[in-house]
Amino acid sequence: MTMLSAVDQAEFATLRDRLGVSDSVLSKHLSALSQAGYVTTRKDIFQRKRTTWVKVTTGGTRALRRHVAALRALIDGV
Amino acid sequence: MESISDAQAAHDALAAAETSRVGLVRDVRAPRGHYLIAAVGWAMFIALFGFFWANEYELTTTQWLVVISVCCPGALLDAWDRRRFQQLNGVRVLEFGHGSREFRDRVLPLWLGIVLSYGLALFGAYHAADSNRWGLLVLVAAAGGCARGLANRQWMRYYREEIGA
Repeated sequence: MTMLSAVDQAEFATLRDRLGVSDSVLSKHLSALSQAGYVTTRKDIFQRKRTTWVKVTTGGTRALRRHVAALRALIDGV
Repeated sequence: MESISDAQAAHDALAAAETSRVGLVRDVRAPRGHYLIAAVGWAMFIALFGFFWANEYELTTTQWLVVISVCCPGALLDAWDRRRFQQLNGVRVLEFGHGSREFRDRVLPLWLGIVLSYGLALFGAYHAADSNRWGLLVLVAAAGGCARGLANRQWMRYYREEIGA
C-alpha cells in the first residue's frame, strides 16, 4: 500500500519482485485489499504478457494514512 | 500504556514500508532519449500549429499531407515513449498527484512555466509562419521543444526528491 501511494499504478510483477513474495501471496493480499475497497486491479497486456495493474483508491489512501497515524501514535506512546 | 515490543513492531513496520516506497521511487528512471523525444514531439506540434494558424486553416492538399504526416508520428512518438516508461519501470506516475503537497507546490510553478513557454512559442511560431520566416519558425519550435524537455527532466528530479524523500 505504501509503495502504491508513490505511483498512480504499479504492475503486478513489479510489486511482487520489490516485496520479495510469491505470485500467490501477492494475489491473496491484493484480493483482500480489493474486497476492502482499498485497491482496484485492471488486466492488461504488458511486455507481451497478460498482467494486472494495481491502483490504490481514495479510500485506500485514507485508510493508509489512518494506519500510519495509528502506528506513529503507538510509537510515541511508549 | 503500550508495550515496548508493540512500539518496536510498529516502528519496524513503518520503516519497512518507507524503505520499499523510497526504493521504488528512487529506481524510477527515464528511458533512453525520453527528454529528447518529448522535446522533438513538442517542437513538431509548435511548428505545425504556427504553420496551420498562419495559413488560416485554408491549407492545400499538399499542406494537409504535411500536417498529417508530422502530427501522426508526433502523437505516436508520445504514446510509444509513455509505453517505454511503463515497460522500464513497471509503474505509471501522475504529473500532479501522489498526495504530497510539497510535490504539488514544486511542480505547479514548473507547469505554469511550461504553459507560458508554450504560449510564447505558439505566438512566435504564428508570426514566423505568417511572415514566411521559416528559419525563425524552426528556431521558435526548437526553443519550445527544449523548454518541454528540460521541464520533464526537472519534474523527474522533483519526483525523486519529494516523493522518494
